[in-house]
Amino acid sequence: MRLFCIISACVFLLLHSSCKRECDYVPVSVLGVRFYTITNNNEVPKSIDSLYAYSVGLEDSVLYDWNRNVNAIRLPLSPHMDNSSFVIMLNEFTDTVQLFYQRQLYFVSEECGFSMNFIIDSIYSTYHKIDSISIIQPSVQAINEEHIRIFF
Amino acid sequence: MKNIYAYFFSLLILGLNTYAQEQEVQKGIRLGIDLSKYGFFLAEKTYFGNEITVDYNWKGKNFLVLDVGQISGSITTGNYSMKAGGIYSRIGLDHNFLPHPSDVLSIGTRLGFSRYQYNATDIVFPDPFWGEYTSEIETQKLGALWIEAVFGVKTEMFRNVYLGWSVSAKVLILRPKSDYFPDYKIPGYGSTKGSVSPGFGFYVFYKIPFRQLVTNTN
Repeated sequence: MRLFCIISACVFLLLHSSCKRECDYVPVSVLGVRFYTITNNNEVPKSIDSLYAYSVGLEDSVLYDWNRNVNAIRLPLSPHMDNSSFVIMLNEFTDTVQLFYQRQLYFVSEECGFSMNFIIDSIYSTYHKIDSISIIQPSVQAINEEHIRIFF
Repeated sequence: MKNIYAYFFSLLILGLNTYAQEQEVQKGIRLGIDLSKYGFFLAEKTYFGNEITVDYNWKGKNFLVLDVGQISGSITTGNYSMKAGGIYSRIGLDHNFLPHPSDVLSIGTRLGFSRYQYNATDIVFPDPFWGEYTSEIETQKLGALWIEAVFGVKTEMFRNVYLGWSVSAKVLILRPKSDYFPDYKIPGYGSTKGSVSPGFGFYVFYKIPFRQLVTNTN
């Protein structure tokens, strides 16, 4: 019994000390946008022939520089403010999209630290080329997924 | 004649001896400390904890168990620094399956609760697009309640000195409500990531023997 007690305790201690943990991904929350059109009351994914996009306030940092055949874009929301605006040029038309959201700090793990999540409250837009915008998933977390749909 | 005296004397000693032994092993309060807490601290160097455990064999092979512990610590990485700390306690029952009380192989249940708090400062997001953003989280006070199933082994190494270990499976009844730390560790419980949290302790006990007031029939 004594021997069993000591040996089994040692095995547990060894098992524990052999576990090493490291951060295996850096969490970054980015807004996922997909483009759609409505034909016969159905939402059909559609590509934009040519797309240019930048963030208002950061005109020098171009996000998309006349990329061809774009059906989805990813827009980084600002962690400094509760809203971000983007200018999106769809072919020859220019629209401005403004998103209002809540920022939420999220503790991923001791190894990885924190990530910033966003919860989209509302979206405003000009409607030169854009027809409408719908929110599919208001919670923007560090997962690559679709959050809003832009119809044109 | 001398031999007979010696015989009776030795019988008396033997009788007293067994009488005393039986009383001592049958009742008593066992005080223990969890040494694994110090081992984990040396391995991780983030949290420092203390846990003491007390058990008392109140009825036959059933033990009343009380654990009290405390954890405090801080982490500082390039991206954040955090301070956390709290107290916890567990109360419950163990049942010993072995015939002799100096060896214990037990299964038991516990009800555990914890009060703890944390805060975080210098949370840095190295956002390459919008520029570096720094934030902090003010002190959050939280509580949790859980139940445990415990399997434990104890054995008397020397007179009244016991060595033992236990493994446990814990399930939360009342989850802490936190916007920031849904997967954070709870003192005394562990990580809330899975639905069941495992636990392990390695203990040294000292048993304070009691005098039994019940008249012994031996």
